[in-house]
Amino acid sequence: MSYEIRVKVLSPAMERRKAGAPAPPLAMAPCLDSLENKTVYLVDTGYGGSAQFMVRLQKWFSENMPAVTTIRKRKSGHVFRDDDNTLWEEIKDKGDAVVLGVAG
Amino acid sequence: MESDAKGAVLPVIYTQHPVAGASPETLDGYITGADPVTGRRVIDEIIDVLTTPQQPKKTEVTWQAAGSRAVETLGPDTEDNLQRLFYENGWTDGLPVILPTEERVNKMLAGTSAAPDEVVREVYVWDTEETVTCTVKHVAIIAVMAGARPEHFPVILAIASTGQPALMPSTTPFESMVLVNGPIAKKIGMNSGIGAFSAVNMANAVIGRAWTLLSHCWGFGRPRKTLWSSQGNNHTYNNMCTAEAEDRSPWEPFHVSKGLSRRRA
Repeated sequence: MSYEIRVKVLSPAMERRKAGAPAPPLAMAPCLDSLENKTVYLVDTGYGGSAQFMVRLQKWFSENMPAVTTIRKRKSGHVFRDDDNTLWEEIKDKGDAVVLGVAG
Repeated sequence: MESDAKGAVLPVIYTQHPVAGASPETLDGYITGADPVTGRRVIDEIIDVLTTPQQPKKTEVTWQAAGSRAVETLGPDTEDNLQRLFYENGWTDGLPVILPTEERVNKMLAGTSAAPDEVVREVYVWDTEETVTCTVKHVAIIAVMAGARPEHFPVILAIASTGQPALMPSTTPFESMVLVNGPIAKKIGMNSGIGAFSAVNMANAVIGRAWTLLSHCWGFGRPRKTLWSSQGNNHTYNNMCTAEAEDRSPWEPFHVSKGLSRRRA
């Protein structure tokens, strides 16, 4: 005669709930119809590899979409903090779009 | 105090990893290659985001089964089936666990004077935008799973109270470390001498493992969902759990350096 033992156990599953409704986010700026003749800022966060990534991205645009002007900038301060509005005001004034990266 | 900080919900595009230290040719490949999440070319996604109206992405429903503050019972079922269930639910590190029967959990709860339904910590999981409520009883269940004994439970509860996951997602192979200090380390038989980091001591082993299992049960251990770690770190099985050798250390004990009295556990 064979038998198998069956047991009851307690579940480690915990109560999970979605975080409360966040404050309504700011809307993004209206998107562009195209990038032709536009200025795109390539903003490097300062994270490892970000600067080199943006260098290569800028090169891609220069070779494949030469009508797009790209400007590389480094976010001010530490990668995870210390930002100020100087760069963002410049971009509002002179840029049409931003690519921000890279996180790791 | 309410924050008046606001931000936009930014579209996120993923590249291959790692980016740090990659050669120019490799980075070129990342740019023209596929986003590992969507499969689309990264450069196409970049252009698309800038030239096409974006809808905010809906947060994916959590992959992990939701429990309740009141602990639920599973089974009865066989050992094999329950081990598979625990693994498939994302509650383990892939190794078999000690099944948390009510008897075992009750014995574990004797290791603390805290009430079983007391909330130890609410943990926020960024990727799923969930708040997870962790009670003393949940921690006891997980301590049993790790193979701990009641005398180890106060340390495991202390770790749980931080809400800090042991599993750290990043490009580089982060891992966390547990260094237990104070009189309790010696009292529960932790090893802080020869072989301090080796797989030779029960207290070191189960406390370190309990932190990993806590992290899994909180929801931090699913690759491509909540764990974005390029190659991960093997230390996360135990988190280098050891104790401070206070009696042999040339420095003052860690807790004393933080302003606590030497006798404080």
